[in-house]
Amino acid sequence: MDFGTTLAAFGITICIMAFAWRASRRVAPGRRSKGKESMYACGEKLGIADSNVPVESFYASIANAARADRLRDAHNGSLSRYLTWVFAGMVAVMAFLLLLG
Amino acid sequence: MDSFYGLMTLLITAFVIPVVSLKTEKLAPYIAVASSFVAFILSTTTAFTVFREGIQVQQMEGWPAPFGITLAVDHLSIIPILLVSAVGFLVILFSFRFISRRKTEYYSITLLLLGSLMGVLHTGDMFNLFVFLEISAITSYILVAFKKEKESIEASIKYLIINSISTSMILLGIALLYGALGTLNMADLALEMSAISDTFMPISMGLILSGLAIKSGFVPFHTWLPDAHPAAPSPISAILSGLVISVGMYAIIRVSSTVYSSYAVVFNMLIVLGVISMTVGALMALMQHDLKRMLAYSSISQMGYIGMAVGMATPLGLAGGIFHLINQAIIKSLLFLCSGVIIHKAGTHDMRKMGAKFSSFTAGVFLIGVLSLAGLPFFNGFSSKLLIYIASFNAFPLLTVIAVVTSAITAAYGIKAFVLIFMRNTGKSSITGMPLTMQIPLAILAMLCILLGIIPGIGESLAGFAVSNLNNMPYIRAVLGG
Amino acid sequence: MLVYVISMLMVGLGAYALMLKENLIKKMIGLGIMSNGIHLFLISVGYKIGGVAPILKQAGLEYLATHSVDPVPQALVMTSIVINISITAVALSLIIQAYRKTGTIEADKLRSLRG
Repeated sequence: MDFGTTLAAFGITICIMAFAWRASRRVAPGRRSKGKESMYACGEKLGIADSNVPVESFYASIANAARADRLRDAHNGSLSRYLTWVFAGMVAVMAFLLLLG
Repeated sequence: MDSFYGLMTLLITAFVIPVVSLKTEKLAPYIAVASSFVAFILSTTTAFTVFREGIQVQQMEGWPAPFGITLAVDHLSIIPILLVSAVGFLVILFSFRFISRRKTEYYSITLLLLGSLMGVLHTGDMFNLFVFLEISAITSYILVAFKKEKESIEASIKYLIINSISTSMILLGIALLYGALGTLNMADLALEMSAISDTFMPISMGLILSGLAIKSGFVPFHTWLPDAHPAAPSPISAILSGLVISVGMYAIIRVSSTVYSSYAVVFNMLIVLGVISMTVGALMALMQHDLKRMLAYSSISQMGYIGMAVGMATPLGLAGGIFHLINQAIIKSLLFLCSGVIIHKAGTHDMRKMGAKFSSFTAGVFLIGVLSLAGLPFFNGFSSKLLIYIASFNAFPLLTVIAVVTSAITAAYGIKAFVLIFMRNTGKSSITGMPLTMQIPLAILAMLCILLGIIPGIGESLAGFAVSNLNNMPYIRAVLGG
Repeated sequence: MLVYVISMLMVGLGAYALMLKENLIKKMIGLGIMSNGIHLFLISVGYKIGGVAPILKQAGLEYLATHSVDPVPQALVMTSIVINISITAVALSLIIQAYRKTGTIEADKLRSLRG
């Protein structure tokens, strides 16, 4: 694609867009009103306390989708369960290394 | 070797401090800061020597190589040596005004911990590695229980019992190695290993790998970490989460790439352990309310990234892993030191109940830490994570998907922590101002984060030197003398 | 050969006590038995039938070089025994502190850190 073709495609797009704009103004002509000309909502501070963002539970959907609360319940603080995991992990590592090595 | 004298300085000063404190306890912090600064200067001198001349080897007391204990510093070791001495100095500077009671015990045992970590990084002998790892473990049991509260004692007992399994398994692995090969020098073991091939080798490798994985916090073995790292005082948490698990990971890299370099299945095991740790650590961190416990699970997750990257066994993967090791140490120390300030000002550990007004310095430094952890461009986390993504995409594209999703979860819990702590001001703290000795370490670590992010070439060239270790022949030739 | 089997049985027994007993003192005893099993294994790696202790005596260096057992595992085990003494000392003082703070030394009652 060379320079001339690109320029021609650009010009045709501009013409189509101009056509569409003229057609839309004929279909729905805009009307000025007081509310449209006044200042919109910019320049006011909206703090975290005013916006109703539930920060603590914002990412709870990720944890729920991954069923992570079962993972948290598994870490229940009992030392014997932790040691069982360590020995089970060690057996798994040795099995992996012996069978696939 | 200069940094070995730095190590000896740290160890000797650890025993000088109690003697001096018989007279007055006020001198202890100053002696500790001075000796850790000396160790840092000597490590930078050694770093220049290593980059100019190559691997530095010294035999202790002159006994020749396979019979004596070797001290070898090569491009892989010099990176954690610089890291341990620099971050150790900054943490001791931070605890100048942070620790107010029982300073003698604190400083002397912390210097022993830093000295033993440096010892692990200098040694070229398997049993010497074991002894220094055990010294670092025993000193960290004492430091985790430093506050003598109910939670600290319980965390330290759990850490002790789980770590004692690590001790026994590493010792059993070393016993099997000695029984089969008759030597314990790492270079000599690498030579003999390629000559003999037994069923003893996978068993001993499995035992040593499990023991070191317990110390590094990979997932089925990680259960001591979320209890022990929050229970320690904050500067000690920074050392534990930044340096101790990094040195454990260095030991895994050293043993698997220098000694067991002919066993490719070890690296596959590291990839599996790494992927599991990444996801479990990130998901658990998302659900925590306690600030330091969340940071501890985040350490497990980042160690998973490093394990996965090293397990690729390609130069790009190893470079990404080592660069991420540096970044994780800097970021995690920054976040833990910052959390010490936050918890002291807010009076509580729970992120949901903190509403005090913090200074913008604390907020800015914590934000730099969180954004680096998440992997935003222009911070150091981005550069190393990009290397890890590229390395894992070349091998298994599925792993890149898992890594990127975990990175998103990392960003989620980091930003959640920042918003919960800093953006809900109800202004009820009466403690203002941070002393200068606490501001300087935070500022230096934050500047390092930004510097390594804007100029990633520094970290990449450091890691690139270390990648030459994938072939262990230069190391063997330097130690055993051609 | 029998020595290796017995030392592995000791390791297994120590691991059983460490994992499945709830009293912290029993866990410490299990840890001691496990480490002693590993020490026994390590010393018997260097054993030679009919060997003498590696101490230089009247008979001279040649006799020592050909007839003594391997001294390296003995040095390794001495170092490891010292490490285990330190670990046991720290562990027992922690258990005493735990008893003072919480009144119990059962591991399943020490469960305040969870999640």
